[in-house]
Amino acid sequence: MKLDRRGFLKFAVGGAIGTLATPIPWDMIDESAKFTDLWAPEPAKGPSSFVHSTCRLCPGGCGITLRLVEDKSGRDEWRGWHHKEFIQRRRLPAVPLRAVKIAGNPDHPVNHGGICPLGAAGLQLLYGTNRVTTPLKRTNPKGEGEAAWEKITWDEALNIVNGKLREIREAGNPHTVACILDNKKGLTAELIDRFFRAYGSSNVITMPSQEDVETVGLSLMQGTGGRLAYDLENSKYVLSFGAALLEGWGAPVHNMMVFGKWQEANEHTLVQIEPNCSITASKADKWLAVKPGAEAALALGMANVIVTEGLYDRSGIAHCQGFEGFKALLESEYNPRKVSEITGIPANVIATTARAFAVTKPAVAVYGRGQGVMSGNLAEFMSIYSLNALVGSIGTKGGVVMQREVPFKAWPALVTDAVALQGLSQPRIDGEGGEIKHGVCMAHNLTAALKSGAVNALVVHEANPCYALPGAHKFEEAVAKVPFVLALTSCMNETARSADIVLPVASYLERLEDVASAARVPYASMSLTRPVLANVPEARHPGDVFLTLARAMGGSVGSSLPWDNFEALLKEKVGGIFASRRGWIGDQEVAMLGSSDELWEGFNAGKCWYEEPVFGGGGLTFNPQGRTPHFEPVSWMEASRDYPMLLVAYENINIANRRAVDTLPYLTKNIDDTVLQKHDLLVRVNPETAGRMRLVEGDAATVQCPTGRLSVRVHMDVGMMPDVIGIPLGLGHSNDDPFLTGKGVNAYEVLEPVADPVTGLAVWWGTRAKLIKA
Amino acid sequence: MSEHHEVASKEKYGMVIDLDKCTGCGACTVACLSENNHYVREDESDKLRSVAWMKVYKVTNGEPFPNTKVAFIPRPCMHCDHHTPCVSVCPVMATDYNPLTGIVSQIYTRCIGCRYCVGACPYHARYFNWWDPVWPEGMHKLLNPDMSPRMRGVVEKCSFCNHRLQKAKDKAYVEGRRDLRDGEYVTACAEDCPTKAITFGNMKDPESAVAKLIKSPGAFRLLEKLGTQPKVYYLSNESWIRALGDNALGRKRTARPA
Repeated sequence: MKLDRRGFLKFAVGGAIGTLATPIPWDMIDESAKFTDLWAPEPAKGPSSFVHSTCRLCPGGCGITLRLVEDKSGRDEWRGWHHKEFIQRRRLPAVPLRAVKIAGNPDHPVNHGGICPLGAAGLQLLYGTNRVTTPLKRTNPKGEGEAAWEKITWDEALNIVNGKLREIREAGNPHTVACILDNKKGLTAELIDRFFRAYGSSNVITMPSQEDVETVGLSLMQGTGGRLAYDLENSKYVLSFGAALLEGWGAPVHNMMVFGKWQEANEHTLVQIEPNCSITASKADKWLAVKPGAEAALALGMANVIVTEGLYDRSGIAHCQGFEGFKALLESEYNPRKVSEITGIPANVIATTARAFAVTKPAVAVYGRGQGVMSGNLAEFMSIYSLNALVGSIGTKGGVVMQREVPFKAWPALVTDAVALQGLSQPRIDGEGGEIKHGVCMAHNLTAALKSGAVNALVVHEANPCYALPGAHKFEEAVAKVPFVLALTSCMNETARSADIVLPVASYLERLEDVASAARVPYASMSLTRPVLANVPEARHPGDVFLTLARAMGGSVGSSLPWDNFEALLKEKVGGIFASRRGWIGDQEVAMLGSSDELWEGFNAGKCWYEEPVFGGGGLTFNPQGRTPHFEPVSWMEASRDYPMLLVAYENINIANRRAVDTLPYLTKNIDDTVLQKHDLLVRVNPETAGRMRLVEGDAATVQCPTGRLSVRVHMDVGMMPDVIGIPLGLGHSNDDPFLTGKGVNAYEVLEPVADPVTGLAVWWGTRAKLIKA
Repeated sequence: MSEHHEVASKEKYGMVIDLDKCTGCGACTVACLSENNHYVREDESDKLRSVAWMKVYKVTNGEPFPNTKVAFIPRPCMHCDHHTPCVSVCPVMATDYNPLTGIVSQIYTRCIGCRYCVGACPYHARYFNWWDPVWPEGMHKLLNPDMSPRMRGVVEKCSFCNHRLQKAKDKAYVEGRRDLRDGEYVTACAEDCPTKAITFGNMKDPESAVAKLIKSPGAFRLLEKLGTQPKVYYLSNESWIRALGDNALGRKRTARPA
């Protein structure tokens, strides 16, 4: 048969039409959809059980309830040598379990069953994709491109660490070893601190926190340090100077629970003082939009009204010192009209708020900025804290309370040898020391110290300074110059990637540890995290790691840390709580218990120890060492021609920013598209300001700061103060987490810490900036 | 299935969300994601692709600085009681109104993915699975055995944690009871809310907390004018928030979604 062109076309077109008339193409599309469908996995069924534990993803210390299900899928990994050991050592049940849900524990005094989004997502940390599963050794030099890793055994890793520390110590330089922790609360941190002191180094330094400036301020004004807490639940008038009460400050869930009760009772007033419309400001009864950094001036303006109108607590002031001088300063410098110019708050608003604060009892002024990482200067703390003395709210119900220490058994005396004593006599690398700077940590000075070559070995335990120190990229460069860096972490982060050795530590759901006293809660409490699971069998308890190292080192270090394991230490320490006879465990009074073992069993059943808040001690010195509370602007608050705007950092409860925990995948669903859009971070700018720069919603822009530049997009937010740029902390990670890496930019890189003239502590929450349309 | 016939049932479950207590933290969303086996995409920062049964909307009163206020409206499925829009349009009965409990169900294995219900729902409470659900290596361990993950090509939505009702009933039967006590069956979001803004329970039980709360003066529902009679009630003393509940179109237009 002859096929010409026309015939061929006829055949092709006819064939195509014919095929479409049959169900074949439609069926093929349908079938291909079915064939390529991965379907959904069927969750393994099994009986479930519930256990209580404690969350330690933030300083809130909530009680949690884990739902566990028998794990049939993972039986294989439970075979092998480690299985039996784990069951014995960690009291794991003989049947492998998996955790499917974290909820709040209704019986825990701190959170009463509530939980925050980060706590609820905790299982994604346990089962996370970037867990460190074995000890790792770096195979290429630091600072030269991507890190290359070799998996090594624990014995090899500890030998390397031990050898390095021993070598430095034998050379007589123990003080050139530094350690960075997230915080010094809890026995693991105290154990690490003790390890290094016995070794001969006082350089155990924590990440920046507001608590440092509070410590200095309190010891100056009250003569004692202590953990500042607030009895918010019983307070009728709360004046919050920027503390993100409902967005993660202190113990977030405790505060939110208290807020829920306030809303029901309808007899509490919350006044939020902060520049921009935050959630706390919106939810407050009154929001005073103060100019950024002028909080101290506003506090002093209110103090002026209270003092001049004679509304202060006369009997309480009689126990205070330096009131006359303070009064004279208030009268001459801080009348409401003058303060109104500094703060931008009308004079009559200052006066009415001050009167309401003074006459409503009990009332409390809360010092704070965001979640509690950023801090202002000492004068600011003293100014705000003075308000509490004026209205008689120090050490009273509904006022400021000093949180008592958990009565753990005291540590035995430290054993030191000549090398240790010689090392301890050296000055600390961050400049701590002297009368005023005693006991504080100045992590912002570490970059210079590391660059100067004063550190031969750096140990970083569950902290991420290469990401979360103000000026993070400079710190990262400095770390590359340190000869030996050891990181202990459960998940790979920016700091671990700059280390020579990385040791995997158990996550909070895999280890036994104390979680003492939720931050800012007026009473002491303690409950345990419990090792209910072992998702990463190689991960070890950091306390056990340091006890093993101490045994290997011997000498003064070994003698100072004689415990076999962390559990033995914890059990001994808990004996102190029993001996104190203070407080309750669950619903049982400690004084009624027969033995320390009963208390220990209570803790291991997930119960919480707590006691009633202790009030009292109202005296205060207004002008310690001649330092009267005053308003002291930070250098970057002054507008300049090159940088007409102020960049202010803010925190979001769905972007993890404390305790070196990364934002967990579930939380990424909660981050609004006005904060993060695809890979771009959005800064908050007032529409009027943006309009002046011809920027509209979603426009790409550059934030130019004296310390660097960031590429962002613009979100027009009517709640922002004009000429202020708001930038969220906690984005812009580069830690190989597929859910986080490359999303947004890291605001820590441009924030500029300024040293407080008195304390030397970092003042950091913003910097000058210019917004340029990209 | 356009009209539901009242049956003699002692149960009708509903939810009350106090917007004055809600701080928009999103713990309810995470509780829901975890309870109901949601997978997480790497590009969740692209909100067009994000699925969350309990979505927290941010709204603002639209006033200029410094009188601005924001508030949050958590939005689960409304479990509409009257002319349930999704049930009315579903061609394969994959979604159904249960006259015994008032819960609107979604049967994933019946769903053909036509997405009529997504279009019909006035509350944007329904989501279509455009992609295969994927859990990274090891993450599948946190899957809740009571809940089936959804496959590609089906629609999903909040079920008022229906599986929890079944469990609570089983427990009550074992203990020889026919009726549940108030608080015995609660959704994951209500259980975990840190401010206790969410209350869940049987609206037909006059002693239950929800039955009392829905009589509060500040109670309202979203888009009440549509007459779908949602079983999710909101409480607020702020008039601008209440105005947003009915979209406020044609009335004061200053308040708007953020």
